Amino acid sequence: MSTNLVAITMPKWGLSMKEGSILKWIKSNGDNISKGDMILEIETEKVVNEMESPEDGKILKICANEGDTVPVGSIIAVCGKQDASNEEIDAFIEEFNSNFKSEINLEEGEEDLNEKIKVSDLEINFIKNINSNNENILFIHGFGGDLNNWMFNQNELSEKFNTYAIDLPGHGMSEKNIHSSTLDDLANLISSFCIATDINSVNLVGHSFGAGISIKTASLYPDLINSLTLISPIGLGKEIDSAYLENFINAESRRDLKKEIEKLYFNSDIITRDMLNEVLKSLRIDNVQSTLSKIQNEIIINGEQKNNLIDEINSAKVPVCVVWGKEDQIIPSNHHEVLNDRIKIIIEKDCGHMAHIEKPSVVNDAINSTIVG
Amino acid sequence: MQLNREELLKAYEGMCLIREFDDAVHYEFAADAMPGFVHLYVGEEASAMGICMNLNEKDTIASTHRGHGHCIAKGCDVNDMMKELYGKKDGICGGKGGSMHIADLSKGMLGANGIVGGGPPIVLGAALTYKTKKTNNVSVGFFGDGASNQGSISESMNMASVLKLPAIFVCEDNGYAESTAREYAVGGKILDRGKAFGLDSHEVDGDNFFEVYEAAKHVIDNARNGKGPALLHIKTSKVYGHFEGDAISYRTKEENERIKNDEDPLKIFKKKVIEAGLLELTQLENIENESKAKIKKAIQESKEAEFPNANDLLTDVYIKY
Amino acid sequence: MPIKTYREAINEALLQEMKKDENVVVIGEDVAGGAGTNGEQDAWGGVLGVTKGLLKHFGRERIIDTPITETAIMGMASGAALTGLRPVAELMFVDFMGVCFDQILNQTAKFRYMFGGKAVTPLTIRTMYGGGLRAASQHSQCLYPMFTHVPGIKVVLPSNPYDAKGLLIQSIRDNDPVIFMEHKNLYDTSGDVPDESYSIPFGEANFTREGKDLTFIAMGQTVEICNNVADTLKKEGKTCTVLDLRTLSPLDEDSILEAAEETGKIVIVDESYPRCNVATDISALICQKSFDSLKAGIKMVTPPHTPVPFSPPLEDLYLPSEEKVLNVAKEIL
Repeated sequence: MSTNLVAITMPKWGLSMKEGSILKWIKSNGDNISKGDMILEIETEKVVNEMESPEDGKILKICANEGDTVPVGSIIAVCGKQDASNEEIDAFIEEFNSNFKSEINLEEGEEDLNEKIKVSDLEINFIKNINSNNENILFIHGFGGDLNNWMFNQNELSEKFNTYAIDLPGHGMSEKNIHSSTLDDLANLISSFCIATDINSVNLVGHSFGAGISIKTASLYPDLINSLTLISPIGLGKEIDSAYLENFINAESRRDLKKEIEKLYFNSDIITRDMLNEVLKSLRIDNVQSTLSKIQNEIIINGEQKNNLIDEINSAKVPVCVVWGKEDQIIPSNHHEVLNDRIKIIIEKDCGHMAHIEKPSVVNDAINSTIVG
Repeated sequence: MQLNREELLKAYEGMCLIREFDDAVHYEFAADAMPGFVHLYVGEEASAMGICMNLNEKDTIASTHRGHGHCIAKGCDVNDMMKELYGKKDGICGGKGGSMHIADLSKGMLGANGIVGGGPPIVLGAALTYKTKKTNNVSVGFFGDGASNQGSISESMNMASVLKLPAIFVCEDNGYAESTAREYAVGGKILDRGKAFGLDSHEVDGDNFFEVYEAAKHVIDNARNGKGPALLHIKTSKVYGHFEGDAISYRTKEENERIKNDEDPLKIFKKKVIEAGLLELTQLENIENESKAKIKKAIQESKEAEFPNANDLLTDVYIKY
Repeated sequence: MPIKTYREAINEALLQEMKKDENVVVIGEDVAGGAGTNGEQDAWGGVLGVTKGLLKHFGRERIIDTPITETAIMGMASGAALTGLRPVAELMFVDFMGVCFDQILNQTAKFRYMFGGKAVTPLTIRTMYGGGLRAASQHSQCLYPMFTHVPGIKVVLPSNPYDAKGLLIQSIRDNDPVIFMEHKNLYDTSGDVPDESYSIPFGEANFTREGKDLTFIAMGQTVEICNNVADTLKKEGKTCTVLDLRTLSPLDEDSILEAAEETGKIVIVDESYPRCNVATDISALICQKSFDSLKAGIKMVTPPHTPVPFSPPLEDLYLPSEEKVLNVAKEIL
């Protein structure tokens, strides 16, 4: 078998994805591609997104056409460093397919990977992916999010690290009723979660409000934390779109919610009805709105950010990386200017508040290099 | 006699107000000054007052198409009622109900009803609320001899009996279902129908306020004390026809005269209290004059009041839609 | 997420709301069963076991077995709602509306309007509808168009267990009268249902499939039919949108037009009689408000204008099926 040829396969975005549909090929047969280039648009049950090339080389043959729906892991294109004959390519595809056995049984219900653990009297839902590597990553989502926000990151990074993603209280499948939700409380909760799951040291990856929790945890529990990768963190300036939080909490219909969710992204085409439905399902559960209102009050006071974490982040003793979408409409990216030069800053253009979803490879590389150094 | 002077005055005030209200409506309607259908209660006043004087504000009633008397006896405001009859915006139902749907939930008046036999099933619900919440309240459902033949009445009496609800069924039998006589339309006896369902059932002379009052007191007190539902079959008569505009050709002249002269509950009440020396004639005449003045004012204000507008057409269908 | 049947989802909604609010009572025929007998109490728990088990939590004071007396049931529930309870009344089969419609049509639906906005009637009527159980003409009808026709009541048709729980909780909490219609054939279907209480707002239709080639509009049981047909067509390279209306009153007109405009080719699948039904209503709506988006005549799959037959082969011919829907879809694809 030629070592020149490489299979590009249907990615697995999120742990429950079973199949994906090809919406559009951005690249064509014969195009040269580099790692990180957007090569096609894929639609899953939850999301529409562009897939980044995993390889450098040239697209030699596209095997799955626009409109096709194929299982995760099946071949969608053949890529090579140099040209190859048609016979060679067909033989490669045939061999791939004869070896390919979808791990996913489309007929069966999906395996539930969620686990629950009692932490500080609250039931906390999380998903872990352990592969005995020494470094642990814990993903902490932002206000109104859940652990599925890391669908483009957790799987990818699990190849190299032990990964954990949690649902914060009041979010996802964690307990909905909370009494107090200050950053200190939630930092304590993260520490307790680590104790409960036998994590001795951890690299935190936090988004927005979750980034604030991460900074606070590093400040209160410096021995626990190895590094921080922060995406659009709170706490570095006064400005924040406070109407977003208010309207998000009170959204009743898919249409109301869509207007708000669009503010999160540079390219709002990414939003599907299913994505909105998942958020609405969560918002409609009793006590979720009141819990989110409590959290809102910990983020915002008089229309401005309540927390100032500048000293805490600048004095952190561990590697810190901040990734910010240049076009972030929720928290302006120029808040990074208060950071000292020990902190690595990545400002990504054509990207909004959700860099980990809009620019996953940038975020994944940032996490990787922050941990590995 | 259990009633003191104040209560007697209140009874006469109520009956007079009902009389004046519906007499006035009779003339207004004849003068083509009032829209819709109206059904008048003149001649039956002792029933509404005799029953409702045993009820408190939190007790409830459901009424019939001939409902003005019940509304007034339960405390609805006559100005607001009159405005409703004229279809005015400030009417008791904003001009959306009219004569047959007057309701004031704050007074325990669950609605007049355009459907014959429509009210008693609703009364079951109020009674269920009181039983469930253990409030010692009662609910009274009025219906006529015509409605007594509706399945809804039989179903309601049975359900009240089965669930032992604090519900009182009051059949105001004025002898006619529209133009059809009770003797033709009612098989067997109305009283026996209540007995058949296990209800404490009594026949009452509806021209005599005191008899109605006593019978109602007995069954209402029992219902409050958890002894279950009852039926009062009140024999009465109405002065006017089924609806305004009814020539009443199915009744004889002699019968009409008898109803007016010999079966008038107000005259009977007046005679009794004066003969027994309980009230002075002048007191009663003052009440009559006050009632006339009140109704005159109500009609004048109602005529001057504003109609609802286009914005009102679409409101009050749902709380949220 | 826990998997529950449609029946369990409804039972759980009742259990949770009754625990939360002591004003919620269940009223109906055999909702517990065994009343007055020497045998088992809670013998039935509803004719198809939907309310089974509630009796032991709440007793006969709140799980109220009645005689067979639909007018009195509907009237009692309406009056109780008007005076401070939050009743859930059961009309065993929707076909029985024939003996009690006055209390729904002329009384509870109109209280608020007739009384000038002063009445609050938080009544939920639960009822079973639909064919497929060989139950013949008086136990198989849909009749939801007749309720949808009446201003003052809301009409809810959950198509799956998740919606059944969330929409029933909303029905109970809602301060207007609601008729909540359960398709008999759905009771044993199952799906993800959170353990927590949650409510789904009325008037928000749900997209269960998304596609580019054709739009199915469905309600209640026909949603599953359309989903399956959409999945079949996907294997043949055609993608379809499926819109589950969820509530017929209020009606989510925006989503209907959105779904229609997405493909311009529309098949409406409605199990109710074909004249003046939901399909004709929605078809008129699309024609009035979005005629230019249509690429083909609107298609409807409904039963014929006959009562529901008893004999199994006849009933199979009568009901909308995947095969019929697929064939009609292919006519315009």
